[in-house]
Amino acid sequence: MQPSDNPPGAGSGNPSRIDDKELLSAIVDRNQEAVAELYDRFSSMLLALAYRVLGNSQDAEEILQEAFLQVWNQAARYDPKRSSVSTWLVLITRSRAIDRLRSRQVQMRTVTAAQQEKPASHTSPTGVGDVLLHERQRRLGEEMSKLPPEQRQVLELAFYGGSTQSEIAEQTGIPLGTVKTRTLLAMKKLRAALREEIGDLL
Amino acid sequence: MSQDHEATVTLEDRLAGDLLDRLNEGVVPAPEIQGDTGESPLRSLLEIVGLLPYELDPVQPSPATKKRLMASLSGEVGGRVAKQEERIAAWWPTRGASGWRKWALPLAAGLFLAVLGVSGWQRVEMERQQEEIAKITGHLREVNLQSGELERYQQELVEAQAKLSVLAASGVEVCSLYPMEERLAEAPPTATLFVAPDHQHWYLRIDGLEPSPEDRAYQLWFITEEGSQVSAGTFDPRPGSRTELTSETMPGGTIAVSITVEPLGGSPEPSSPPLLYGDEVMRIL
Repeated sequence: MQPSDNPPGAGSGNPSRIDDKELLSAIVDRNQEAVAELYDRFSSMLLALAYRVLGNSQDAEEILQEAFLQVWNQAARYDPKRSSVSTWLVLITRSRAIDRLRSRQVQMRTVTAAQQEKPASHTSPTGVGDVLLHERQRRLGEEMSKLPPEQRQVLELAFYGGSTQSEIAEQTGIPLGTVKTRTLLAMKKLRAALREEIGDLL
Repeated sequence: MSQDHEATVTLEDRLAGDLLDRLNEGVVPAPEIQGDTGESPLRSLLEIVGLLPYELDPVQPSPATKKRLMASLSGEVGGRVAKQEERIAAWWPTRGASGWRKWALPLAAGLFLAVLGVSGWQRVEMERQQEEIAKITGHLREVNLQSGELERYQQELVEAQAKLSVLAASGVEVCSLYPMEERLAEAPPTATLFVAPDHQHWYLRIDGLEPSPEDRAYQLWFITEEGSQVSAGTFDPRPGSRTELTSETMPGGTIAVSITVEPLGGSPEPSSPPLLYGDEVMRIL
């Protein structure tokens, strides 16, 4: 199975592949196997996201489970005009992780834990999905590393820390206007660099 | 010239700058706005956000997580009531079987009255919220506002609109919270939680709750099917006034709600028995 709506290389690779959107339709019809399949495609990426936000393996796995329960309960609310399935899952997982972060007020602990604790990772069979996942990881890593550190910093504080631009300005002592400019430049650069990947998702 | 100053501001730029802020406020903007190219810039920006976590090293979850997920899907209907009972007994050991019997009748009576009264009450509340919105909008039009005042009124307006949207939603669910202390005061506090059909937006109204003791705060908890208790934050009522709380997020699988008294700043998990508790949901169609 391939890992996203229209991942790189999709189209001729696997004729039996079920599209992510079809999986969501099956979930609306209460098909549990579709949840299991969607979980297999995205769980390792989503767990990495939850772990990056929370800095704690147990919390991150709880968030992952909650996110897929939400998918089970709210699959009918997915709107393909708004986002790809992959992005919808990222937004759900991130939102839950940020909520957990805020409610437990563990920001300081998280910073330390994220630096010290290595997340437990369990082995799984390697397949087409893993290859494509790693290709996407390589591309994102490449483009993110090209961003100037100060632009990357504001993007990470906003995306993984859940901080607004005003909060980032307060936390870092950087003027708000500068924070806004850096966020804007980072997003523009990524949009220009990742046109192909975005096109695959649209 | 510094890289910080290389931008010229377009519609797409404004959207890019604000998107993460809006997501952090719990809003996912609709991508209808078309940019200069005729495409939806917001959609592509959202997809960039969705791609960001792909930079991270994937982390394989424990097999137990998937097993728990699949088990909770299979058992989501059957056993829900039994699980609920087990969970309540587990996190509040002071409530025994005799306590349940003692409170069964008042609880049932309360629920019956709530079923009768809640629809009418909902209408009254909606009218009240609509009046509040009209009043705040009037203030915004009439007053030559300082920037601080403008922000305050705008915030009030947003909150009132959020409450109204929950109350006015078709299929809103209503859950009454009841005092759990055996010795009831003459006028015990009561609360009603309204949950929108998306199970995310909620509005809680609390009456008769005294200001919290010194160095303590009230804390609201959502209890999920898995038994975790997720804090929705702390609050402190003003003397003699109604407390209203609203938010756009609620943990998935929430089946009960409680309010406890905790140290200032809140606790990571409840450290005292619930003062108010509710787990019976009625649906208003």
